[in-house]
Amino acid sequence: MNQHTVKAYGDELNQITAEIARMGGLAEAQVADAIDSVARRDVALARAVVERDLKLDALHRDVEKKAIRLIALRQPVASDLRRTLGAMKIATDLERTGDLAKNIAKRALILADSEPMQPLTRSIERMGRLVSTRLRDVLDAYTASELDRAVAVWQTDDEVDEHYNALFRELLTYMMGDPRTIGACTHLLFMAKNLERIGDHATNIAETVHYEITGEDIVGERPRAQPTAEDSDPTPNISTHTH
Amino acid sequence: MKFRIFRSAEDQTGAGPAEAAETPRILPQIKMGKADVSEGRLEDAEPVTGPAVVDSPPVGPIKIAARDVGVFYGDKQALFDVSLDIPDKTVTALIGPSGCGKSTFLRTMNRMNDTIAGCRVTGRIAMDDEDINDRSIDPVLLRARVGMVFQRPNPFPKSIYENVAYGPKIHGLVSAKSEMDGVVESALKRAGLWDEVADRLQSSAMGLSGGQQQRLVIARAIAVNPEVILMDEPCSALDPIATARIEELIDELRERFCIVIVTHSMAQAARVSQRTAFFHMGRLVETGDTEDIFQNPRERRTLDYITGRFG
Repeated sequence: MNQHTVKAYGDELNQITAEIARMGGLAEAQVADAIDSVARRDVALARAVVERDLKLDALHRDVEKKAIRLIALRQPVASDLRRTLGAMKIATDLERTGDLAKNIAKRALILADSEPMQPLTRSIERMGRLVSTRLRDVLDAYTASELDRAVAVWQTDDEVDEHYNALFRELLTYMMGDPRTIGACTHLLFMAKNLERIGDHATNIAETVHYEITGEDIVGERPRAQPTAEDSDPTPNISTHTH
Repeated sequence: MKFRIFRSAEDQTGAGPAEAAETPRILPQIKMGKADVSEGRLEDAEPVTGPAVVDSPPVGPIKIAARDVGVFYGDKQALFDVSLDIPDKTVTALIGPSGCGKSTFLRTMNRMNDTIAGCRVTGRIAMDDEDINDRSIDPVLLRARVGMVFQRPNPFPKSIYENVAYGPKIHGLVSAKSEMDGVVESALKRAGLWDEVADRLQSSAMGLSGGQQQRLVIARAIAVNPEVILMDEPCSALDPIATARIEELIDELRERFCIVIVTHSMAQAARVSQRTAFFHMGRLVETGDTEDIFQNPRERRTLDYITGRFG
């Protein structure tokens, strides 16, 4: 992309993009740390995650303010307009991601008081790692404007759903086997749900990146794992995607 | 004089606008676009291929069809192989950096370039399938059909009434005074100026503000019932409020006329037009629906221009 004739305009657009990259890095770290705090029963780390969420919220507000200012003063069109609006949308997804990570950390604080449940926390850890990777991939795709990479993230959303369904079954088995674990297992179930939602936000970001680069929506079917009837999932995969 | 770029509907139906072309043209008639021709055209479009112009054709009747239009000032070529369909009852904006040929192209559409010594126009420009450069066409009559509004308002140093009445008078459209009063009033009303000048029609037009003068000039242009109105940066000398008035006026006028506007303000092109053509270095680069051009242009040079990246 050529330089803007008015340099300050180009600088402002770049600042917004840089801020999204910073937000992305922070959101990624929040998710990873939240998962670590669950796996290691690390109370200090969980508290740090809860506190750091404020920073993500502040960055979110700042991106919105900068984007609105740029729209008001520069009247961006075409690719510049998509970039500005894309930044606003991604900032919202990242802010929500941060909220979900914070929620996981809060549950980690509660779980730290109860009996360790090694196999289950390892499953959560695996799912968390998968979701973190997707988040990192889509953010890399954003900063490098790599269309293929964004589409790849979008197409593999079913992996997260599969993980979620497997974890759901695992948790059910535990709870049926020993009703005393129901409290802890419910927290783990919410964590899994939160991770699944973070995965959805990564998918949303992939869609935004696609639109920003091409000006068009992603077309085609996204593979999707359906929860089977015996799962009797109380909250079936209600997608939070905006299509 | 007819020529056809696209196979028209009459080729299939045997009926069609052939008779229309033979009907002698009477000036004040507003000739409607030939919907049947253009429909055939949409289905059977065989566009004459120019050099890599990104083009998505307009929907609706074509008023002016330019094909391979070139303009030379002496030895210097200012415009190269421009082929563009301009739809009727639509505002088409011509945009591009200074010297890109957009004004030159605009002026070919009412043969304003005829007045420049050493200027030569090649290619064909057809209005309703009629070659406007044909010898049988009287440029004076053509300019009554294709009115023009310039960058600086240029009212005659006469009364407001005289300015509007001038065209109908010299073209012999109106004889009775009472009829002329009606023509002047309706033109001023359509130009959105009536309420401001109704009580001082006999005062000098030079006493009006710039925005009022520009609307007066538009009233003068529409008083002779043209089919096409060409506007060459009509708002560049006006303040934002006068500009907004003119833009509102353009939006109203497009229900009756084919309007082509050259503007340096891309925001204005986006606001007033439905079709946009981007020119660069004497060539047409891209043309399409305005919303597509400003949301997602297909040509890199267009994107660079509309986003302000031309160094």
